[in-house]
Amino acid sequence: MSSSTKFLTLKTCDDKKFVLDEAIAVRSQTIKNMVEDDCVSNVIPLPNVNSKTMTKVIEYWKKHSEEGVSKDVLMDFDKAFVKVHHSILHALILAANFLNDKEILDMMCQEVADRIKGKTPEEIRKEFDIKNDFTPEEEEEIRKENAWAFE
Amino acid sequence: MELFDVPVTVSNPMLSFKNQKTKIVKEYVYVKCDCKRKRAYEVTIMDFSREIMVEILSRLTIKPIFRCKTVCKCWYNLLTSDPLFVKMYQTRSCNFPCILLSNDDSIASVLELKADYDYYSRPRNRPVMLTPEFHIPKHKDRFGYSFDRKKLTLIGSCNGLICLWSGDRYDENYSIYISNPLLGEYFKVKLPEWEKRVRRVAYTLCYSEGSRQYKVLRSVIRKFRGRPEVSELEVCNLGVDEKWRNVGEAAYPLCGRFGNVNVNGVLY
Repeated sequence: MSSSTKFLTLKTCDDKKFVLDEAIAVRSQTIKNMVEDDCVSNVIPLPNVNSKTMTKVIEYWKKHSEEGVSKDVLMDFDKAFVKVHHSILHALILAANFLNDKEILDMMCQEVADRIKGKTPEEIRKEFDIKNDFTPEEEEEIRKENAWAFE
Repeated sequence: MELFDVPVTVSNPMLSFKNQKTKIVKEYVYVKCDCKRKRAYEVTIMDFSREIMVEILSRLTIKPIFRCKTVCKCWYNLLTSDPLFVKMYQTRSCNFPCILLSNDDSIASVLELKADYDYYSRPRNRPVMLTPEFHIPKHKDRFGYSFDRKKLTLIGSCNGLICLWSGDRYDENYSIYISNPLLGEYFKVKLPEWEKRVRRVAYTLCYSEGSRQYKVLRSVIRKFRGRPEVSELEVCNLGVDEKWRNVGEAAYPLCGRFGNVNVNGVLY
C-alpha cells in the first residue's frame, strides 16, 4: 500500500478533465511510459480521445482495479461493456490503441470480429457502413472462387 | 552501427506516409459519396489503421475470412496479400490448429478446431469442404481427359500446405503437387526423370526451420542387376533451384508412403 495516492489529470480532445488515481491510469501503457519518463506535468493531454470514450475507458479501468471482485462479476461486466453501439465500439478501439491498453483493445477487436462472423458480405457492409467498391463482375469472380464459403 | 540503422529509420516514415496517403484518399471518397452519414465525426470501421484491421480480421475463422474478401477492395487486399495479416493469422491459428482430413482419398475436407468448436453439431456441417474445381488441381491424362478426383492422394501436409499425388500409384505418369488448399493455389513439383531401375518411390513435404525452406523429400528404392535393393533419400528445395540432391542411404526402406505426421519439421 502506498502511503500517498498520486493523482493525474487527463485532458481529452474536447477539453474535459478527468482526475484519476495514478495507479489506475497506468493501465494505459502510454500514460505509464509518460509517468516513468517523468514527462508528466500537471495535465496529460489526450488529443485522440473524446470525453465520452474516456468515461467508458475509466469505467473499465476502475472496475478492473477494484479489490475483491469475483471473476464472474468481471466477466458479466465485460459482456455488458462490449454491448455498445458501433460508433462507441470503434471509438473505444481507437482510444485503446492510442492509450496502448492491450486488454481493452483485445476485447474490443474480438467483439468486432464476433459481429463480423456469421454475416454475409452484404450484411457486413450494411452493419459497418462500408461502401462496396467492387464492380459486379469483380464481385462475382471472387464469389465464384470461394463458392464454398457462401453455402 | 549507424549505417546498419539507416534502412530501419528510412522505412518507418515511408510506411506511415503510405498509410496516410491511403487514408486521405479514403476520407475524400467518404466526403463525396457518403451522404447517409448523419454525424461526420462518427468513427467507422474504415477509419481503422491497417494494424487494427489485421488485429480484428485475424481473429476470424476460415469461412468468414473468405466472405470478408468480397466486402470491399481494402479488405480484399488485406486478406489476400498483406504480409502482416499472414503473420498474425499464422500466430493465432497455432492456438487452434486446422486439421486436414482426407476421407477415402476422394473428398478432402479441412476441419478447423477452435476454442468454441461445437463437437455435437451435425458432423456433415462441421468440416469446411474443399470444392474440387477450385482447390485441387484437375488431373489430365495424355489425351486431355480429366481423371476423377479419386486419383488424387494426400501424401503429406505441413504448415497448412498439402502435398498431393496425382495419378495412379504404379503409373509412371504421375505428378506431385504442392497446394495451399485455402487459397486454392497450387504448383507442380519438378520431378526427376523416370528411371527404370526405380522400384518404389515415396514423397512427402517438410519445412526446414533452419533454412526457412520447404523441401520435398523422396525415398527411392533402386534395384541394380545382381545386387540387393538400395534405399536412398533425395531432397528438393522448393523455390530455390528445383534440383534433386541425393542425401544418402536411408536405413529403413519406406514402402510406398511416408507417415503423414509432421511436427515442427520432424517427420514421424
